[in-house]
Amino acid sequence: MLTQELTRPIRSTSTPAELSALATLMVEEEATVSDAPLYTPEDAGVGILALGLLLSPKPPKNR
Amino acid sequence: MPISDATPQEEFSRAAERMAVRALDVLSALGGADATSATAPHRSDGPAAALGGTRAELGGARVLGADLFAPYLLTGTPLHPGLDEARAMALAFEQYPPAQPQAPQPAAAQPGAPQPAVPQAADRAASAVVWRDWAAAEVLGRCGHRVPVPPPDGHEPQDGAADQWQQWSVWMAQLSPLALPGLDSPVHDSARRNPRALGRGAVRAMLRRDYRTAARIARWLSLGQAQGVASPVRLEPLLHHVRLFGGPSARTALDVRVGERLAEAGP
Repeated sequence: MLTQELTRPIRSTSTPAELSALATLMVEEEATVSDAPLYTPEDAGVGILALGLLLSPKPPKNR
Repeated sequence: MPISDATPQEEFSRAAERMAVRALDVLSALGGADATSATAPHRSDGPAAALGGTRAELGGARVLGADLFAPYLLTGTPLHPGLDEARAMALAFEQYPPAQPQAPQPAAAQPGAPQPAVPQAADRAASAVVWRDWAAAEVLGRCGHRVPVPPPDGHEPQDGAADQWQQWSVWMAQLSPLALPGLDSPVHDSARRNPRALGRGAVRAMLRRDYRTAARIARWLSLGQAQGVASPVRLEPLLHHVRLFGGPSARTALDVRVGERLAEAGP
């Protein structure tokens, strides 16, 4: 006889919170992610302009 | 007694992830090697090999459902009562028995309003739980463990349900553990009849970057393809993309692997 074999039935001691958690996990809904990102050219334009200003080299100093 | 601040949902979720990792390991072991020798390590040969030793693991087994046996069903390995998975699932059904059946409530009758073919969200969730319990109990019965599970009468998908393909495909995603070889039900019939709606649902999930849902729906398309129903979307690149970008979830990885195995099987 296997030593780990159960010789008595276990009694369910599940709580309502556990059963509710199980039901929630079993019926996993689709993710609440946003739809695919939309193309917004005005945002890209402002971003590129700001990036260009930030990365532009300083003008040479006159001596 | 372990002290943990985790909620039951967090504990069950983590346990389900561990169970999914185990299923993936078993699938890898059974996939290439001789089936009879590969099953040996997964029998209860000692305390260290025991499965379902904690309440969290039993809850994880209930969450995973029939997917716990996916490696055996996919590889055609004989099921028997000595499997660790079978013992754990039987204990899980004792610890967390299925809810009493409740037939879906008809929508509030409005004169002249058509009856919706797809039930509302709450009824959809209840139906999904009933079908998942049915599938787990069905496979468990083949292992030689009978558990009392209410029959899914009254929860069959209605004709025309797939016309509302967004809700229907999400419902089918919730039923992805049923998409295994050897299981058959009205849900499977509905999936075979509506590959186009499943394809739309899979593409929508991909566009939403909801890769978990996409993988779950793709399992139904893969199962249909294995049974001779042509898939409206190419499954290989879809599953490959989900495998790359689907995140670290082992349950998603298991869905992808099952889908790949079914798609490889072909008609």
